[in-house]
Amino acid sequence: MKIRVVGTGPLAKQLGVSLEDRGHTLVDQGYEAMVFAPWDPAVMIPRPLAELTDTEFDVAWQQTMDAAVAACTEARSTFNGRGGSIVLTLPTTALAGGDHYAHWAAAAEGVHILTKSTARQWGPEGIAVNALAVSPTLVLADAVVAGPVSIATPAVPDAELGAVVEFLCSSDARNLAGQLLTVDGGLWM
Amino acid sequence: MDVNRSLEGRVAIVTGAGQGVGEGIARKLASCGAHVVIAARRAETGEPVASAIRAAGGSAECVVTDVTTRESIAACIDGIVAAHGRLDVMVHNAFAGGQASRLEETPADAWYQMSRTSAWASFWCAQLSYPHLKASDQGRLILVTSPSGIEGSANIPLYSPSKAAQRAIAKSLAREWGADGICVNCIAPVAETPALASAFSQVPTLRGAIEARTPLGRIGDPTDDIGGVVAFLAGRDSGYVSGQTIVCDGGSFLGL
Repeated sequence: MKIRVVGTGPLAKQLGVSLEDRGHTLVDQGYEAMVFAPWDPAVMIPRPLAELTDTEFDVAWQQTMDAAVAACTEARSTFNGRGGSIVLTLPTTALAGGDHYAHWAAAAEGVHILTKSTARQWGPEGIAVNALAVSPTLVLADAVVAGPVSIATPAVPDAELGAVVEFLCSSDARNLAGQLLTVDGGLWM
Repeated sequence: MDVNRSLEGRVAIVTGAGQGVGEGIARKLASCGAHVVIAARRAETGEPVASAIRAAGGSAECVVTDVTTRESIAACIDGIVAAHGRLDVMVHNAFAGGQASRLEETPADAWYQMSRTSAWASFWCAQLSYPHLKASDQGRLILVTSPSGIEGSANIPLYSPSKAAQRAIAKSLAREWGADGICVNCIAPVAETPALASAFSQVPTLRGAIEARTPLGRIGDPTDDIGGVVAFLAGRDSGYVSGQTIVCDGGSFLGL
């Protein structure tokens, strides 16, 4: 399958390598599935809200959402009425909140709910839009500062993200719409 | 006036209080004894609400506030704290820009208007009120989101993420400000308002769809059904509730 992975951070690279290992081809045009994974610890810096600047909020919230909307609409255009798959990733910080991470939590939850809106509008066109939530440790610069997602220990220590993304990009997932699969070892339930 | 005077001596700002849910919240908070600031974009809508509250025996004033700019919110908060010496409750309710559209056809200015009045304004209201909420012994930040911010929307697709951002901000600040004794929560109301009337006019089937899914069989009243929940979140009885979203929709959304 030809898949576009949007993002340049470690998560996008990890997903790209995993998908290629599974026999898929990474492309920027003519794809059948798009994976949105812009999250990058290099810019996901914790900041107390009291000290957060408008520029930092813009980078986190506005630019991430603008990029998500652009990636989704471009994917729909690329699918050109043939249907396809969109997978939007996000850290579970969207669901749990994050101490000193209100700006990035806002962006992540915005992406989460964008998944549902696009699934509702584009499902009838044969476009399956779903979301994948990952551990904050994969994308935040300091997941410890953000605070614990759970008091539990991971039920699945070595969760395999690529396998789940592959499923969400496949025709087997065309019956899913607007769903969130959390693959963080079982911390967020 | 309400017999519940639990907010006596408290000062509360309610954005978007010139009509709809914001007006209902303002009326209820005032009936519980708070001095309420009607932070409205237009004096034509805000002043009559403040006057009506005063006529009913409550305490209120209108401060013209445009939540799409940091400066306007700062001027409102600074002026109120200068005049009253405190700010205990900040309610961000104002919202503008929601028009039915396809995602791929949503005008950029409509999207930015939604983003500005929800996510950005929540950030600014939170940041600028923080030192005053921290100084209060009962600091409360309450963000008015929407059930669509939980479920997504087929009609106004970018309305939903704009409102979703507020829940994530509330959860994050509940963590961040807990040590300061500040409670941060959201409500997600469905109520008879000018905004909902506009949505009904854009999507004629929407009212029937909402009513058919609502166990209580009616759409909420901004003061009695929504304002009362905000009064609870603003008061002392909610002192162990933080980071939550209370969905006030007659039982329509049951997904939590």
